[in-house]
Amino acid sequence: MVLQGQSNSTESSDETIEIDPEILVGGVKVNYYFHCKTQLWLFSHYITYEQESDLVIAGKILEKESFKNIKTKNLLIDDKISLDFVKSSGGLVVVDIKKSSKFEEAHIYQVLYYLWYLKNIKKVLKVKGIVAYPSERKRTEVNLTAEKESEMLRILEEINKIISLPESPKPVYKPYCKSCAYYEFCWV
Amino acid sequence: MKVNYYILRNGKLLRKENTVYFVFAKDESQPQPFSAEVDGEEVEVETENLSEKPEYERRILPIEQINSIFGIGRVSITSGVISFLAKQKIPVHFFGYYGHYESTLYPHESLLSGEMHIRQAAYYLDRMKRLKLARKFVEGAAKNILRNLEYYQNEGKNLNEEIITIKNHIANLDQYNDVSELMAIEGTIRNIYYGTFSKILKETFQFEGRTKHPPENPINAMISFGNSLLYGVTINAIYHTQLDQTISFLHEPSERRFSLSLDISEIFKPFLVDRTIFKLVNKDVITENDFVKELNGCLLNKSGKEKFVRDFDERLKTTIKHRELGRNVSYERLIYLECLKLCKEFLSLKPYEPFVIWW
Repeated sequence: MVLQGQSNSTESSDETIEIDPEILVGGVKVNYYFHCKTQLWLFSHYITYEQESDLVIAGKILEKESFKNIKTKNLLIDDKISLDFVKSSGGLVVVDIKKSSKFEEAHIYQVLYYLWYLKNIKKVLKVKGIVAYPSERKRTEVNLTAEKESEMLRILEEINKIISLPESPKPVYKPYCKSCAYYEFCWV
Repeated sequence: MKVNYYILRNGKLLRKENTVYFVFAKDESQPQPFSAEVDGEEVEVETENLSEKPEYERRILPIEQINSIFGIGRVSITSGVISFLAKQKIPVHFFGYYGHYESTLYPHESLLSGEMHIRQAAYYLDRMKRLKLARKFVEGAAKNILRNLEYYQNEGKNLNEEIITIKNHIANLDQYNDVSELMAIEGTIRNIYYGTFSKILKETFQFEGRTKHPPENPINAMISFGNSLLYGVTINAIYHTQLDQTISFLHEPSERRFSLSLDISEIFKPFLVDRTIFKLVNKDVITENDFVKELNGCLLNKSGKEKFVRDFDERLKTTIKHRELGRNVSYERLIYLECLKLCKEFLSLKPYEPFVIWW
């Protein structure tokens, strides 16, 4: 892949770069990259577990019940990225709904990836992003700067490196393990 | 927490919109119209009438709370229910006249992983790896047998000799380099164990060794019935993982369709099935009246099955604080965790150690 027109300014340039399509992943994997490498590897190898916990049900209801007036919900693009919804207010805005801002960094990078994807793959420029936490009445604005844009490329490479490891990274205990769908798997 | 539903009566499962009903005759001695195959369209009409007739009763099955259904009585099922249960990922297990497992109406696999599938198969194909796992299953089964014997030894039964013999067998498991040898030693251990039943159990029932197809006396009838229930429960646990039901290690994969369940349930039989039997007999819950003796066999009658299922299910729902997880898990969940441990073995994340009663 060739990186072109990388600018030093904090504003993202309008130029898009050429991307090896092999490197593209789903947005959730970007989130998991920040959340947990074991989870990223297992999820990418289709080793997933159903979670019957109330937390998951609450999350699903939240996604369904909030922003009810918006029609363009759950947009699947290229079978690759799934946007909770898109709205236009002074330009295109991609909104991702989350339950709690506990893992804000992972959420921000997930949205950054959507913006990066729209810009570099779909050639849709000037898109903004928002992470919405309806239950906290909070929203975080996300902008794809040139700096973030090159960082995203590096993140994608690392994600691909982890996924293609022959063995899953060993679980590392984190305080939020207890609320993860993989908790029993990792710690039994 | 989802639960298992055990249907002991004869009747029919019907669907009306998104509700599943079980319809049965109030008077069981009357002829049962349920077993007839009826065309899908007509069934709906017939059900309406059936459930509203005074001689029939209907129960609602709360679909969101069902883990699986055990059809122990003669349970008929309609096409509407089949598709609905499949969508809800609810397996239905069917049992025969003698209380033996017959088949499972298995919803489509939703947790498929090529990675896991290949790794599980590779373990079977690698002779040493297969042997290692087979040995672990025998070890787990034997150690849980030992825990039962130690319990009754503490209760004042003289089981010293058997305990020592089984301990020796466990210590020597590493010597066997063939799965068929391991199977044989597993049988030996189990026979020693069954030999202790006359000391453990009250004298109400005679037990002279294991008989199957059909079981010859009440204790054998209970062992067969209990093992069949456990087999179904283990199929449920495996269903909720990426493991393949047909690739087993101790038992030959060709033995039965879902042979991995045979391997895993081996570990849990002493804990979940045998303890149920000990309790039911020693506390006089189950009596001669709970069995039907036939020319060449013995089986639990309806009241017997009901008593057994009640205690077995209570046991499944009992919880224990899990040491590694630091949270309460049900005994049934332990079987699921066992499956996860196998997954981790296949993924080289953690060597598999079988469940042994730790309390």
